[in-house]
Amino acid sequence: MIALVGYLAILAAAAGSAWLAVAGFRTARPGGTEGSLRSPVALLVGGAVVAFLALEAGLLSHDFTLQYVADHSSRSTPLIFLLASAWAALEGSIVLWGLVLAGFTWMVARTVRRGDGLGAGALAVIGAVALFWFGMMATVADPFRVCTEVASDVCQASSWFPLAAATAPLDGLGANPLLQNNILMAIHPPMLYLGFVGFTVPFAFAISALAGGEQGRTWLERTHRWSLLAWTFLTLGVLLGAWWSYAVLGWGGYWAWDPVENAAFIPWLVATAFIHSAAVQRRRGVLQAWNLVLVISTFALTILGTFLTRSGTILSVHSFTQSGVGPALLGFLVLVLLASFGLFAWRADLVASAPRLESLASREGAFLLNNLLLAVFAFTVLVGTLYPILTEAFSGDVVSVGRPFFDRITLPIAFLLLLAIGVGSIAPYRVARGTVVWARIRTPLRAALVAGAGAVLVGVRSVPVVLITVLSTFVIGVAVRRFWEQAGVVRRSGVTAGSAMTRVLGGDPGYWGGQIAHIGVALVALAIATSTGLASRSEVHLAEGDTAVVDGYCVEYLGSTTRTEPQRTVTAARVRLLRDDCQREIGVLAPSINEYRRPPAVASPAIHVGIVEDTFLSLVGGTTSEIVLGVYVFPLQWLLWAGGLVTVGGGAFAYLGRHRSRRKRAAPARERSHA
Amino acid sequence: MREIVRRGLGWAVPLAALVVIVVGLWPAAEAADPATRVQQVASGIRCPFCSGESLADSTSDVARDLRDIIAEQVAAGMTNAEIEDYFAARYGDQILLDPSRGGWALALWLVPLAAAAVGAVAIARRRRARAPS
Repeated sequence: MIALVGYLAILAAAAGSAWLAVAGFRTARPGGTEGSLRSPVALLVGGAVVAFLALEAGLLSHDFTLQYVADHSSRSTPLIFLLASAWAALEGSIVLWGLVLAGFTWMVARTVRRGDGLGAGALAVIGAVALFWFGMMATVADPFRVCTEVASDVCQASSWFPLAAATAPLDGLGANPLLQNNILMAIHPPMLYLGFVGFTVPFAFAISALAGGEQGRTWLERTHRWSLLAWTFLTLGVLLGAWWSYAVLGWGGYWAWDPVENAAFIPWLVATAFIHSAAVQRRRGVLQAWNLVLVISTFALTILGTFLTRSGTILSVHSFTQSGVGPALLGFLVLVLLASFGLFAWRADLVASAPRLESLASREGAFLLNNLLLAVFAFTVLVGTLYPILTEAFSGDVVSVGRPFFDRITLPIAFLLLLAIGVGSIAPYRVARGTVVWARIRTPLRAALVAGAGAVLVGVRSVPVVLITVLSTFVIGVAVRRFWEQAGVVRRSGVTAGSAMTRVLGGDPGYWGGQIAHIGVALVALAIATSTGLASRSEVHLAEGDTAVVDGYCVEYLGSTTRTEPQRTVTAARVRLLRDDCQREIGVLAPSINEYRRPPAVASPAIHVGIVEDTFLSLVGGTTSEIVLGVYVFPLQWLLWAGGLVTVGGGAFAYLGRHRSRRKRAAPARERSHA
Repeated sequence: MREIVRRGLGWAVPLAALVVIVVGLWPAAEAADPATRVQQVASGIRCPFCSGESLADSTSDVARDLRDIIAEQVAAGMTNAEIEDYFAARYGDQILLDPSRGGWALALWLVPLAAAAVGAVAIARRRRARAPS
């Protein structure tokens, strides 16, 4: 029953997508017929919602006739992870993807009025994209396959036909241990998808503008908030992924340059470049062609990211090996690239803005530098990620590209980026005179040098860490000084300090949202530098009752306990953490190893979060008589999460602030029309 | 007079800070302690039987054993390159996560430079193309 409802819903959504693509195209084309786009949108959205609900219903009711439910959940899976199982594996995650896309389609459709060719064209593009995803759900990634053969209590064969004679194992296999170990894993994918899928909207408007030969920046104005929204969610998604990695995987890190991490990071870099160059075009009317390239690239990279993540092309902790899906995604990627850039090559001269940059020494110039750096960064990570796949595919040689490469490449780019953020974000538009810029950076520069000296004085001897300290302080100082200066100007008109600050922030939420995000990025850079450059890692062998002093701490192994939960067996070592004198106790931590019904066993670290540093204990291994305890110390680790949240907050501020200011402008207009 | 003092201090403090930074960091990279070096080397070597993790990142038993080998080699005074050679000889070049050892892979390091050069030329040409008017 659930299989039938779900499968029909997918077909309905696919039909709605196709209908929307055709109807939108017919409406958008010059002299086209005005048709209502409401019905196809309703069909698409309705189908996507029902399909998602059907999948959740199958999981909650333990309907093991559905292969997806049998393979990815069990009766003992806790409720929250049961709900999250809907996006914990390949087919389900595409259902969630479809749901998010449907939600965005609905919101875009609400802004499209009669005679709006650009909007109708964008809906047509969204319809075509949605057709691909729902088509995939109906064929190679069908989440509603019914189980037709069970052997040793595992579903062995299944059929796409929803009414096929179904059979069910007694219990499911359970969720992937890595994914049901921490609540963050239930939130991380939806956030990432909101980001990934969100870029479909600016892409669709860009393609519509290109196809319609529409000049000017209407497409950019209409999609500006979408880009901000998508960027904010993508940032949050990447941040949560790193946080999960840190809190769940016992290796004591948050970023491994794993292809799947890169798959989200590369679109983030390009999207960040797009947000910046879009600001230039909106303000000064230049860079139209470059913006089109960036938005098409961002969208294509989200598809590439999905391909890398979901096709099993890369052996990685994240990949779920699947067949059929890979070729489909690769085909779609090639189609998107050919069609988009073909259209671009054909029409770009029609829509491109007349170049009129006055001077490279200006805000525009700084934005160009920023774009160059971000693009080079993205391209480098992309090449490093694809290089092993391509060499293996074409020459059969197996090579590895990992942390040594990425870390070394990232460092100089990060230095330059921070410098560009600091100077660029306060350089005036058009022509920046040296004296003006100098006046704005002089004080922050002093503060930055003092901060660097402070770092050296407290004992930091790592050159990169000190450099990043200087640059991060500089970026934060520039933003704070600028804010202070502007608030001071408003203050002189005789208002209170508080209202002067809110007036400055509310006056240009896009700019100040950006500055908040810059502060966040600077904090993240500082935290990355300290938590990697100043980290210490040790392993100690401890028998019960043993004490050891490592990395300025004293650890005492008190004993282990094993407890059995419905879905897992938890072996926890109780370790007392003390200062290095072995007298002052910090707390008792319990790093554990969790064994689920299916391997691998997952080590859950126990972390003592401190203002100065995190102490990270991980059960690396052990026998009945002794344990091997990893003791890792990460200075200023909390700052990474805090800085990431500040960055997300900056995006949210720009998004919400813009909304408010637009409503404010709209309100008097309405009053006038009533009068 | 006070203005001059204030100005002087405005420069003296950052200058002093700069001196502290330069002097403090001058003895350059002091010899890394053994644990750090094990970490350095391990993060550049792929864990042979895990999926896409380095020896430093993997919590598997194999990775721990190999880290112990690295620790012994560091203690025995081998250089990072010698240890990497040892692992490359045993498991093949692909165990090294830094691709710069294999001939063609060197090109990988040139990618960012080449991309930056292309971008810089493009920007410069855009500028020149519209100088008059």
